[in-house]
Amino acid sequence: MKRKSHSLWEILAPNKIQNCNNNNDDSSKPFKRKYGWFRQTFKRKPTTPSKTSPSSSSSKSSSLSSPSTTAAAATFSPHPTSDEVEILKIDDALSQDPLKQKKSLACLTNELMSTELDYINSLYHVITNYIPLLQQRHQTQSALVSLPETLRGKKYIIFGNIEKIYEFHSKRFHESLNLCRGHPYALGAAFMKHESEFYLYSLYSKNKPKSDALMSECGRKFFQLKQKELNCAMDLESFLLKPIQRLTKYALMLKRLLHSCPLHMPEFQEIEAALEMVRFELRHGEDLLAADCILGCDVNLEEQGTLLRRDEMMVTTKMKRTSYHVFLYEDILLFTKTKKKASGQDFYSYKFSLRTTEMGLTESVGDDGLSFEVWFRKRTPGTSYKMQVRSRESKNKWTFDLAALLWRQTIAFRQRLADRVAMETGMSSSERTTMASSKNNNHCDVITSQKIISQRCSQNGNEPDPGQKESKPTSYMSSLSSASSSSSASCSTTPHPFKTNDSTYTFNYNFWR
Amino acid sequence: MASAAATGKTFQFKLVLLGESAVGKSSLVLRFVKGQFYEHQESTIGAAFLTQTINLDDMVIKFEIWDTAGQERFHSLAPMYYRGAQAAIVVYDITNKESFNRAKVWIEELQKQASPNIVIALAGNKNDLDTSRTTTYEEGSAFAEENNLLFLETSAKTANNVNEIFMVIAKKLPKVNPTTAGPQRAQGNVDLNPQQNTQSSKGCC
Repeated sequence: MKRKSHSLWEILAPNKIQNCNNNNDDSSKPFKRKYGWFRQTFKRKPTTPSKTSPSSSSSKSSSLSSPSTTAAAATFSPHPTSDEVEILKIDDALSQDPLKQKKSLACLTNELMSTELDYINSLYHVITNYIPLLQQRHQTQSALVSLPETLRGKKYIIFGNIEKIYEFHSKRFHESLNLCRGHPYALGAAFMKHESEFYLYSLYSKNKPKSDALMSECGRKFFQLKQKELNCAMDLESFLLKPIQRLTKYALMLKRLLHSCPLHMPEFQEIEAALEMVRFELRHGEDLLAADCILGCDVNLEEQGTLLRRDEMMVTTKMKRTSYHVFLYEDILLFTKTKKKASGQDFYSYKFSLRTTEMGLTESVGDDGLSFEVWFRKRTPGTSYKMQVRSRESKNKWTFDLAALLWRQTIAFRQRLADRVAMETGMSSSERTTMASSKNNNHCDVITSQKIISQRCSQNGNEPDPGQKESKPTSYMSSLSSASSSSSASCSTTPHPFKTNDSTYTFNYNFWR
Repeated sequence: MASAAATGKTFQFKLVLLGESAVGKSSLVLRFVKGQFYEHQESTIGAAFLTQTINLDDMVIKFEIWDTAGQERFHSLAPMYYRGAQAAIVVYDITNKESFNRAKVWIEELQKQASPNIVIALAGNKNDLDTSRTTTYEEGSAFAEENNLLFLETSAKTANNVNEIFMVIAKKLPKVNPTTAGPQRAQGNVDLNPQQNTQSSKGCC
C-alpha cells in the first residue's frame, strides 16, 4: 500500500499529471520519500515557474486547491527543532568569515570522501574475512566442526544486511559522492538520489540488538580467533558497529553542510531533506525494534505502511486520562500500554487503534503547548483524543507528521479522483495532458471532479452547503474513494485548514456516508 | 587490582565516551591518542574507533575507544555502544550546566543498562575555561562520590588530566582474561608525559 509521493506543485499543476500517473505504480518507495517531501514542498516558495501552477494565483476555478495550499504553507511552516537551533548556534563566528567557512567546507567534504573509502574497506573486511566462517560452502570439514552449534545458520543474525550495505556504498553511493567533488552543496542531492537505499540502515539497526546478543553469548570468542589470525586491532563487534556509526556521521556532516549553505541557494532544501532523511533512518531503526515488542495486536502491522513515529503520551478521552505508548503508522494510529519487564526490556500491550484515513487533527489544544487532538470521523467529545506529549518539540514533530500524512492522503485521493473522472469522461491520459497544457483549460479535470462530486452528493441526499464552497471544507463521498482507490479507506476527505485562534489550526474533515 | 598472575600480560578493554554534544568527547580522545588538539574542532571529525595502549606496572593495557558521533541522541543506538564496553567516560563541560545535568542522566542509564562491572569515570572537561565555569569542582566531585565514580576535571586543550583519566580507569579495571595476542607494538604505547605524547592512532586494519 505504499504510494509514490509527488510534489504538491506537480500534483496541482496539470501539465504534470501524466508524469504522476506514470509514477503511481511505483509501490516500492518507502514513505520517507514523501515524508521528506512534505517538509521540502511547503518550505519551498512556489516561485519557480516550472513548479507553479499557472492558474494558481488568478484562476477562479482553482479555488478548490489554491487556498488550501496557501493555508498549508502558512500553517505548517516548520518550527525550529532543538537540532535546528543548535545549527544556528554552531560556530557563529565561522559563518561570518567567508574564508574560514570555505576552508571548513573543504575540510568537511574531504573528510566525507576519504572516510567513505575507509568505510567501504571496513565493510569489505567483514564480508571477506568473517562472513565465510558461517557459510557452509566455504568451510572445510575441520572448520565446520569448530563452528559452535549456536552460530550455525545464524549468518543474518550476526551480520544483518551488511552485504547489501556494502554493495550500495561501493557500487552506487561512492560514485555519486565522487561526482560532488568541487560541488559540496550537491551532496544533499546525492543523498536524496539514493534515499530509498538508505532504508537498508533501518533494517540493519533493527537487527543489531539480536546480533549483539548472539555475539556476547558465543560469537565473540569464536570470532576472536579469526581476529588474531588477521592480526587486526579491532574486533568484529567494532566493525559491526560501523554502519550505525557511519549513518550518525552522515547526520553530523549534513548538519554542518546545512549550516554553511546560504538559505537562498536551491541546494539548501536538498541538504535539509537529506539530513531529515538520515535522521529518519536513525530513528526508524529503533522504532521498528519497539514495534516488534507490541503484544496482543490483532492488526497486521506489516500492512499498515511505514512506521513514522512513536512516543509515550497522556491521552484524554471523554473523562478518562491514561498514559499510552502511541505508534503512528501511515494507515493506523496504534495505542498501547507500556509494560516493563524485569529484564529491562519494554513491551507494548495493544489496546486500540484508529485508521488515519478516517482521522482528523487539531494541531494545538489547551494552553500548555504540549497537546494536540485527533478525532475519529467527526470531532465530538466522544470521539476526540487529546494527546499530551512531553515536549513542545515533540508535539511539533507529531503534528507536522500527522498533518503531512493527512495532506498526502488527501492529495493522493484527489489525484485518484481526477484519474477516475478522466476515465469516466473517456479521456486518455495523453488527451488530458494535452488539455492540461493549454493555459485556458488547465483546471478542467478539477472542475469536472467538483461537478461530479456535487452530483453524487446530491444523489445521496447529502447536498453540500453551497455556502461552504469558498471557505469550508469540500466533502467527498465514500463511494468515490472506495471505487477509485486501492486504499482500505472507507472514507476520503479533503482537508481545509482554518485558523481558529492565534495558536490553533484545525483540519476539519466531513464524512459523507 | 592487578594480580601477580597478570604480570607481563596484555589486557584489552573497550571504552566508550558519552555526553552532550560539544563537551569535548572527540577532543579528549584525540588528545589522548594523538596528542593533538584543534581549537576549532569540527564536530564531525573524530575517528570512529581508535586504539591506544598504555603501560601500567608490568601490564599492557590496550584501550579500544569508541567515540560516539551523535548517536547518543538516539535511545536505542547508544546501548549498542555501551553494552559492549568495560569502561565509560561520561564527559560534561564545566561551562555548560545543562551538559552536567545530561551527564547525570547518562550515568543513571549506564548504571541501569550497561554491564554491571562497567567502570565509569566522570570528566569535567574544559577546565582551562575556569572563569566561565558554571559547575564547581565540588559539585562534580560530590556527585561522583555519591555514585561511586572516578572523577577528574580535564582539559583537552591544555592536556590537563587527559592521560590521567585513562590511567585511573586502567588501574580500576579488573584484570582477568588477558588477551594472548602477543607483545604489543611498543610505538603505540603512551608515554604519560603529554609533551612527548605524539603517537598516532593505529586505527583499524
